Amino acid sequence: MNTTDTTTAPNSSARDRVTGTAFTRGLGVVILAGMILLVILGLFVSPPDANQGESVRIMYAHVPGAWLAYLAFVVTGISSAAYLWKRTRSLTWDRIAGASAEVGVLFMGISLVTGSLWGRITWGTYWTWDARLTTTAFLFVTYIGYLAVRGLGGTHQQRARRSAVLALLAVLEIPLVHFSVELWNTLHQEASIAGRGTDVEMDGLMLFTLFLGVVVFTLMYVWLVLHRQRSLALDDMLDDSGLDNALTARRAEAQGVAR
Amino acid sequence: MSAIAHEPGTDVVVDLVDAVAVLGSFPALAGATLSVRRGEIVLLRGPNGAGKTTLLRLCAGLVPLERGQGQILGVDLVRDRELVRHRVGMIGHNNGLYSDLTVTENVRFWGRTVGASTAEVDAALHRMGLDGRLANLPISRLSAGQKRRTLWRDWWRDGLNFGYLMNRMQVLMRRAVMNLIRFLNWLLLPARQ
Amino acid sequence: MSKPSQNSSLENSSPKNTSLKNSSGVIATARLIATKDLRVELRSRVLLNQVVPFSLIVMVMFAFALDSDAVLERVAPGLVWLATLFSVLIMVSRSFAVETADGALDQLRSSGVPAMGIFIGKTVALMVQLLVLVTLLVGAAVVLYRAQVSWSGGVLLVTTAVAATCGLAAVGTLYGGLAAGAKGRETLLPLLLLPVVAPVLIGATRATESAFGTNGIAISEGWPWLGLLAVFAVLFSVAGAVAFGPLLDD
Repeated sequence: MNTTDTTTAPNSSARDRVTGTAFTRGLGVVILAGMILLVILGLFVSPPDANQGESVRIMYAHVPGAWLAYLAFVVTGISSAAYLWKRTRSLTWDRIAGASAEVGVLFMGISLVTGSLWGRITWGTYWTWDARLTTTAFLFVTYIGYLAVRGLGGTHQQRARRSAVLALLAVLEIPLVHFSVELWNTLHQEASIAGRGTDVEMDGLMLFTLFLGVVVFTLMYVWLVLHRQRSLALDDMLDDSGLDNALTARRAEAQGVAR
Repeated sequence: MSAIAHEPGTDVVVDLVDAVAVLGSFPALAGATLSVRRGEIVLLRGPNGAGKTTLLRLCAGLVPLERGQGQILGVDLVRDRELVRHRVGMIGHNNGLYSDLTVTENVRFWGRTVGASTAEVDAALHRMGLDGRLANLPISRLSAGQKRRTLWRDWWRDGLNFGYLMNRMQVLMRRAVMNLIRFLNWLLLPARQ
Repeated sequence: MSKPSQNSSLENSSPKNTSLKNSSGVIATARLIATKDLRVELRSRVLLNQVVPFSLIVMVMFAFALDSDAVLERVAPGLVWLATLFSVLIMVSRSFAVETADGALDQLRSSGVPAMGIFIGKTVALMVQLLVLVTLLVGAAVVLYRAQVSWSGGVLLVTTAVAATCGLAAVGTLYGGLAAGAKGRETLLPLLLLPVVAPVLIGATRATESAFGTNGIAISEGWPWLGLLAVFAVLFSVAGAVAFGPLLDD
């Protein structure tokens, strides 16, 4: 079948125009509760760090953000591979890849900004050239490029194939970049700020809050990708029904000329 | 669009059923059904924007089939569109020539892409009257008509099944069209030997 | 890509033995495309008349911007490769503009030549042109920035140039093919290409520093960077050969 392979027909009921389901609503409630807990624990209850003071609290946003940036990258890579492999080819994989990239770019941005602020407050510099931060910046730019290519137009299959190949090339590129920057840094023998969290002495509550942060953010990622993937499916369905309308108009045009 | 056939054969080489082809989001072809038999020469007539060029590009395997079914020379357009390409030559709006290279260099290059020997290329150049003064002229110095003549390098590709798709009729009068059909027969016949 | 054995439904459908469609056809196609690209360059002299002057001006601009002989001498290797990277962008654009100008790329697709052959051919042609460019830029660095190259440094320099230009040519051709048919491609190509070539910039610059003996860096320290460049070149040549077909096949 060449058309978008969504299971619902283009002109179905209003129920299908909403991307929420019982599962996502339930998930949303859990996330909301988790976030509230995270804010309370992170901003108020958990102790400040012995060395960094209150500024360590940025960690609760930065670390999950960074983790999600890379998770999104991996998910986009896997879905792209799944699309390209003939046996599992389905535009759903393409939409998951795209949704994951969009959400991923968001978290990459969060990770970079929070990391930069944390560095400024704690060590006085907005930026350092350590491998992790630099690679995240590259990941960010690469994914902006990926999203630009997704917007190039053409049929859904063309978009899917082009972006899938690009995503897999990114999977090749990012480790290479990371490795090169790491090698480069060993030259300069910089003080290892690689683990921005490692010079923080974590007591039990801090560890728990961090863990909670990772879990809540991951659930939020899942929620966002589910919704975005569905709205992309609706967009594609709209394109197809738009095509149906355009076909009707075109045929009418032909009839008009023939008469 | 209407199609006029001439000299029909028996087996079907172009078989389109309700073919839909899309350019961006615009349905250039909104359900074309066309059946062409081997040896037929088909003239497509239609107003500008009717989809003639898109139909030809579809048959050449350059444009994907969005809906409907299509078979070109027995190859399915949905599954094996890439395979159609080797079997069909298309002369479109563009010439596909490298303007910095000479006529001879262009024809030799395109000849090599289909495995022609130097002798065959030289024969083609001679047939099209391109082996004289024009041979070593860079394409950028040629007139439009001379460039089109450089295009007709494909006719010596024997051994493969080819459908020739002429994209544009410069002259619309019937008599001129019949002359052209006779000319095409003359060109095609040596290829079948 | 082509699999002639599947066309049992076609009568009289055996391609000529001399056609470029089987695996030896990849090499033959590559050679054909590479010679064609180089011949076009020889005729049009775009590299010589436009790209080289551009990159030399870039080198001069660096001198204006950095404003210190000592600094320039120290960063000369980096400047050479930066100028090369900027030139790659316009060279790749040019390489594909030649194809799309009169629909030649479409013709290549319809003629059924293996896409891998097109990729290899264009990569080789681009690499040759890049080698010429890099040689001239190193010369410019010696003149403008007072860089110094010894004989043993020269060996390192040549191998670095070969490995780096191979990687750059492969990635450039690959992403150039992607951007070739796209709207907004002039700005898309730099956005896509520059992040990917960062490892080449890092590796080539460090290796060239060793070759120039900048800051007293020993030549022996340059060779590990060559390893990085070689890995990059191999990975992206293979990836490009495989991915170019699907990317081109719209």
